[in-house]
Amino acid sequence: MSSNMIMLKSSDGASFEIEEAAARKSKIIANMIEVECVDEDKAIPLQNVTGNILALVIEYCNKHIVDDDDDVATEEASEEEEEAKKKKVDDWEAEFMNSMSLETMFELLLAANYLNIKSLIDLVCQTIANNIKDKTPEEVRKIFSIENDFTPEEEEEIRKENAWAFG
Amino acid sequence: MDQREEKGEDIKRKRGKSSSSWSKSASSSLPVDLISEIFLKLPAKSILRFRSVSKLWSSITTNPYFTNSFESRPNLLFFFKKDDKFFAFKISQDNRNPSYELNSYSYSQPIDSYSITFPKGCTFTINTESVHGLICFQKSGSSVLVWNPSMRKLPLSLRKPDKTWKRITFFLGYDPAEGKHKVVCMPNDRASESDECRILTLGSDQESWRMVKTNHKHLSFPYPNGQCINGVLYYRGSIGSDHVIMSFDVRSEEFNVIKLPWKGYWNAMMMISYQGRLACIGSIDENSLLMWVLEDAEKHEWSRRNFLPLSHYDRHADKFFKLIGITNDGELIYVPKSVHEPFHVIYIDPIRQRFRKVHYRGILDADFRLRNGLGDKPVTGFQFFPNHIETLMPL
Repeated sequence: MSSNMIMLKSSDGASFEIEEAAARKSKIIANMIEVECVDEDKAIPLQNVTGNILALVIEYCNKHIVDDDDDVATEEASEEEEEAKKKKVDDWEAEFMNSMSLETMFELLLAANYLNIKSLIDLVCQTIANNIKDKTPEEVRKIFSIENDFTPEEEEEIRKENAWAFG
Repeated sequence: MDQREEKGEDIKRKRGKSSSSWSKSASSSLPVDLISEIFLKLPAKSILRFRSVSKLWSSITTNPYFTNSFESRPNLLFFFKKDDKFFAFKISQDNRNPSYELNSYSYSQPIDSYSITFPKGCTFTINTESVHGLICFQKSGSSVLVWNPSMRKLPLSLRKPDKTWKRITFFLGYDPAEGKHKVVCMPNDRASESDECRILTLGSDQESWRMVKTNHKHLSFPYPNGQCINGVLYYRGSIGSDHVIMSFDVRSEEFNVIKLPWKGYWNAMMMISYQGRLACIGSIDENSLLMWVLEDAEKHEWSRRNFLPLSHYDRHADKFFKLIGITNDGELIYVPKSVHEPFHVIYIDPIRQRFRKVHYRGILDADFRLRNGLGDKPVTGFQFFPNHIETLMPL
């Protein structure tokens, strides 16, 4: 396992060192490495990601690259161990997501989308979904900064159609 | 009203303020595909509620592209009927955190429960299955009803395709490639074999029955059940004195005959989807559970597996529990034959020989019985739908 380090630079100028294997979690960065766009001494500029969000992305990638390595090393692992390991990752993810505000989640989602990290997109979307699933349309409008563009009549009509879903 | 306007003002102000700085809200700049991605992880109920958030959200969640890709995790759905009321319960059949320890007993809550009033004369028939979120049943021997329980609207009623058919057999199939459900209906006259068939594609412009020849004269059996796996519907039938399984490719609408590896009528047999393949499972006697897995439909090749019976895990359980299917994780699902409190479901992993019993609280408890005038007798006549997913398919 090579432990090549590469540098990432956030939109607000913060630099982060990250193992290549972890950075490859991002399809975009993996592509850059493939086509040798990456100069060892130069940081990769990520114009759409701020430093505080990039730190979270890197934390996530580091955590998951370690787990992937484990999988390779212990192919013979018993099912119980597999289950225990999976539970450990789930617990870590729950803790990780639990530590941030909804607004941070949205920023993290945009970053994961920009960097193309599918598993992180899934994790953040699931957490946001869990957060909003029992909310009222009014509360959701506030969270997503959405203006209600229905006329009162139209809104009434739509609400009536699915009245049970408001119970 | 006043309050809402005030809130609207509030948001405008916030937006104005944040447009130039770091605090520009990320939530308001989410592209539509990410919003859809979040929606795909919500329960159907939340999505239907959020249709009133804005025109954009309404159009995303009613777009066929979205409604076709939306599907929830599979759950165990079940109903019973009292007068013209259907009582529905949805419980998780998942073993997210398996607790296969010495004490394999755990507690859970139903995900959802509700009642709905149906038109008079609706009866579920035994072959009813949940096929990609939809359920098909018959009304008083005449029309065929198709229902999407996740939308909680009245079922779509389809008239019997041919008045001269006294009895009918019907099945629901789903083609995942095109995201289309089709209802297949055949005459079920016990005296004569037929190659007649009518097919109706749900959601098509003109929902009408089309005549299709099966090219195999056969008798179709509504029992034990139909099973639709990866766009192929399987049902039981007979040709002459041979019992067979018929396959129907939902997309190409082609019928084929699959020969069975056993002789005669296997009474206890049910069809399940086992690791993406058709399997026939049932007990042979008290001490064994047999499963045949279809390996190659064209070559009529099956493989045989023997499993330990339920009584091996729980001595007297086979008196009170019956097999209704298998989860996608390969756990056999056993439910009570008649239901009273407490409500248990038994899950058995036959390969790893593991057993878990889940007690679902709040199903038919004293309070529920009192509210619905059910008395304190066991309730029977339950219909179970394992692996039921939610879809937003309008009918």
